Amino acid sequence: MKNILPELRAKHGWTQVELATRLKVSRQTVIAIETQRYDPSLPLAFDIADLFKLPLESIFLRDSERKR
Amino acid sequence: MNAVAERKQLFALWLRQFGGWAAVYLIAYFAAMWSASNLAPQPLRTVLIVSPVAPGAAMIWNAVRSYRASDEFIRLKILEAVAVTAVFTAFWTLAYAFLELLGLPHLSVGFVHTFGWPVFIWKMVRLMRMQV
Repeated sequence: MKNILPELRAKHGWTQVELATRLKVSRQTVIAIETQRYDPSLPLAFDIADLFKLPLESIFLRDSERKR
Repeated sequence: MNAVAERKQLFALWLRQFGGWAAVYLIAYFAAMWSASNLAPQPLRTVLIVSPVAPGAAMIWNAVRSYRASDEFIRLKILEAVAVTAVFTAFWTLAYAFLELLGLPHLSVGFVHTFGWPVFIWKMVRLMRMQV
């Protein structure tokens, strides 16, 4: 699943460690989400949306190539 | 936080959670090995031989606590590491059981740890060193 987390983080001027601290997760988790190696659970995705005050669907984008 | 500072922090965390018990385990392990071959059967020998079990159990309990304290991605990676370790250990112990029939030395079941833990630790170190 694609996401715009790196862009949002850069916009706020946060490092990966700072974002991880705000979300109460590890730096590795932030890296894995940003590089699309890991899709977060719904609770964590909502935490991310709350942190950036944006709707979930504007941060996480459905992979258009994925077959439904 | 840069990579060196993070590595130092991780090492300090490891020392707090496992270092003390690992040191106690090593001392108990050598005491057990020594008493097994140097002491006559007596209660002290029995106590010394089983003494590594307590610090070993403490380390396992700390690993469980660390797992519970981890976030969802780290938990997933720990489970993956456990699965890979289990497959590797299962294959190696099965293969060695037949290699023993071909004349290789008979090993204690305790050697399973020697084969298994390095795989798990390798996976965990790779996770800790994960970069963009």
